[in-house]
Amino acid sequence: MNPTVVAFDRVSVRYGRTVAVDGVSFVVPRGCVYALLGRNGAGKSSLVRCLLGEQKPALGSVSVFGRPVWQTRVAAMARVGVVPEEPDIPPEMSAAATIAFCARLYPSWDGAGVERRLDRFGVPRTVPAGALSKGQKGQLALALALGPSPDLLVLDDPTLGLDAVARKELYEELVEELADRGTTVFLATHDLAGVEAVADRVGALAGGRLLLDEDLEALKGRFRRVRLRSVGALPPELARFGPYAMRRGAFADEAVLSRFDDGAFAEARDALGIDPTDVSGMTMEEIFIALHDPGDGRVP
Amino acid sequence: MRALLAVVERELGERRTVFAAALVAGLAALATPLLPWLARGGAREQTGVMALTLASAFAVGLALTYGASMIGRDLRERRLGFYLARPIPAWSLWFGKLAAGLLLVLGGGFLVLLPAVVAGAIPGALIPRDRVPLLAALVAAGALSLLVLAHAATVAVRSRSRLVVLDVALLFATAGAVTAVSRRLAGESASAGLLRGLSAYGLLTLAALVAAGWAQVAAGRSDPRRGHGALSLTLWGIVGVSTALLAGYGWWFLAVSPRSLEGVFGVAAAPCGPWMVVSGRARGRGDYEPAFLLDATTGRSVRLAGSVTGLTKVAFSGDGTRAAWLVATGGRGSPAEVRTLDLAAPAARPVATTISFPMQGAFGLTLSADGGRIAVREGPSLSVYDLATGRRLVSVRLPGAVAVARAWFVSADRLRLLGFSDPRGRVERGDLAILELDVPEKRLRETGRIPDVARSALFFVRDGGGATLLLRDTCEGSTTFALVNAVTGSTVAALAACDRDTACQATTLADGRIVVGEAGATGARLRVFSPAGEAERVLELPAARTIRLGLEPVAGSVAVALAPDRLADWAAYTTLIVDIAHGSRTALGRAYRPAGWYWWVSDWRFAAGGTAARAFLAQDGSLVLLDPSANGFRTVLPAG
Repeated sequence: MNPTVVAFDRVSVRYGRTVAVDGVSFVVPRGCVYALLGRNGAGKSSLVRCLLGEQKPALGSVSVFGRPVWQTRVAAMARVGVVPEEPDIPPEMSAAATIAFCARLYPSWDGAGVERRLDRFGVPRTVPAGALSKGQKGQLALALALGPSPDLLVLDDPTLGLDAVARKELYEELVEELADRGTTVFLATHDLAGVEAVADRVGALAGGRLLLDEDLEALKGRFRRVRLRSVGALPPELARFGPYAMRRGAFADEAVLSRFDDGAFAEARDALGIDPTDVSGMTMEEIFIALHDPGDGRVP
Repeated sequence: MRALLAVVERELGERRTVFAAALVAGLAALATPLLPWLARGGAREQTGVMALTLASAFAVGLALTYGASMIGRDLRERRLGFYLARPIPAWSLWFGKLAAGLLLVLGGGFLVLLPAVVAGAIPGALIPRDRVPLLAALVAAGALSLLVLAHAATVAVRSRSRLVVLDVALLFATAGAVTAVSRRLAGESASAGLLRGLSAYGLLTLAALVAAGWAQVAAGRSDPRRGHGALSLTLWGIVGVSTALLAGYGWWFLAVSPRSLEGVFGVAAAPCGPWMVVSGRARGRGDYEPAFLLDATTGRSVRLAGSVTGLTKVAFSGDGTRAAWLVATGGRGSPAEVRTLDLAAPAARPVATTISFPMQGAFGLTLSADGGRIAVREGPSLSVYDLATGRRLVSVRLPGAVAVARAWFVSADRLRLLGFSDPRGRVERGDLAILELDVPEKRLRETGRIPDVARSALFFVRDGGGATLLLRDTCEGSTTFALVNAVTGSTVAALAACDRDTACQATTLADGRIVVGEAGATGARLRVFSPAGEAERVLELPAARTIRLGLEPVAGSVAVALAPDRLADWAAYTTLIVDIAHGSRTALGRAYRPAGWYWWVSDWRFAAGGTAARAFLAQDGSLVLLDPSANGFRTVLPAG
């Protein structure tokens, strides 16, 4: 039994005549770390706002814990922790005041855990939030999000603007937290390297449309980069491996295969004259780039 | 509730410096007497006035700035998610912020006043103690209004939506509708009704603004345009319904008939015929006292809509076939227009004339005997118009030292005026000038003068031929009645004199005879004089200390009301009909008063046995008509 925590059902978001999100559907199962990837302006934040019940989709609906979140925002948010894209803690509020404010709102509050976390990252309690560093704000936001021991943690580009150290700390904190609690995480980001370490499942948005929605391991397993010796047209034998993109180089062409299968490809490799060393796995970042930039043309 | 309190606490905590600033401002007010240019006057009063001024400015400024920023700033800086991503209901967020705003504004204002209050610098004259609850409620309502108005305006402007154009259009349309209803009610002098309507409308609008703010947060959340849409829909929905209710209220308020009157206060009757003007307080409409032209025989009535002339200044023609009155065409200072009604036509409606003038001074209307001409007095000008054509026949400027007290048509071509030689009304007594306007010649000339007359004197212009005037003059409490020549002002006959302990009144009969009634320590009596002022007889009446005379309900008789006390209530009056020739008396009952209360301002002699003479007001305010044959009354207008 792995019930759905978040479900987007044909969600469209419009701003005037601009379509930010166009008919997106996917689900996030319980205990999953779901990473929604997309470039700036792809529609990630719009989907996050819909997920948090802050924005009503023009079409479709978003359910959280099985209930439409627009109608049940207050009940849903009692079980959700949120780290926003831009720290939205009122700048004049200190960490102590913010904690005191938030602690009153939730049925349970892990005050000790919040203090521990802030201590660990040296976040001062009495300094107004507006005067904290970006990293401290991020840690404070994460501490506040984890304070109510949420069933769902929503992170909207939490590493945006953070340096490498702060990014690492934040993900480490997240991993530790996940290990402890098994919290469902919805992570909207373009920090692909960070995602790879924590995500179970990924979705990719481009131009408001969902390009993929898949388990990370399966995704990485079916994407391969193949160096082709014969410069020119794509060999027809590759068609069944889902050639996704091609990049022509001075000495060789590269094809990205999106339906790679080890056994089947081993059989075809000799016929194609491809050396095993010409086939390489792809990082999440490479897959993402290939998805967004087919190079010399997307292969039909 | 927990979330609401958390929001209130957070908002107050964030802006706690406001209270310190208020206290500093309050302390600064204590230094007001040190200001060199305020050296004169009481130091405490100056401090009090300064503290009140500072408190008002502080509260207004804070209400506007906080109202504009309480949600608008969070929306602009994309910080509303801080609240929305937490289990805070929209109502807790909105009402929490609103409550915090009210506490800040009222608390801040109070802290500005506090030092002055402690120093005893706010005297009771500035804020009367018995008005404190009302003032507090008004201040709270005002603060709330400013908060929600500033919020609504900020949300509308910051959404950058085209809906703003619709908002502005609806604002103007609403203002126009409210102004139209208000002007209509104000034009009818329905001040209490207007206040009641506008107060309710103001409360509904305030509720609409509060509800609209909640809708903006609940339905718009972090989407400024959607929020603006929700705000506008809620606001204009409620305001639209409220405006429709106000318009309906205005319609209902003025949809009154004579039967809507709780009781008839006053009656001014035509000299002959069945028509009269009745006035009284309308049921359920506060202090609104509409006036109607009423046919006492058929019950047909016409409301004197927008009349500014009042009960006593509706002019009747001598033959009772036409009435004229003034209607305000706009607000204060706008021209007044003459309207007329053909009383002889069974279904006639009021007719607007082209005769209008700015109401800048005292005014009056006078109709000729046949109703064909009308004289309009306005300030220092006197004009005569032909009513059929609306053509002005003559317009003259009155002599600078003369303020017209009365004017009446002696004939269609001649108008007689009585005026005091002290237009500013500074002296209690003065000479009464008699002027005559020759309409064809367009010439105004003084024909005579009555010396040393009280400004409060009453002139009974009961002789349509214009030969004599019945003059009632008072001096140091005593009252005299005299018949004077209406052209020269010379005394024809001194009729009667009453000391300050004797009540006296006079009336005239249709044949020109004069009756003076007296009631005092020596008894009550009627003195009857011929049209030339010669004493004819004295008729003794039952003992009384107060006497009121009516008209001639039966030819040769006069209506008399007697009371045993000088300050008696009408319930104590006994009404009789006294036969002038024989002195016989017919009792009509208790507490009936001759309804022609204002008959003494009529320009015309009343017909014997006419409707005006037979109209009485019962104790409960019913208007009744005497039926001499049955020696009983027929109810024309029952009291409500």
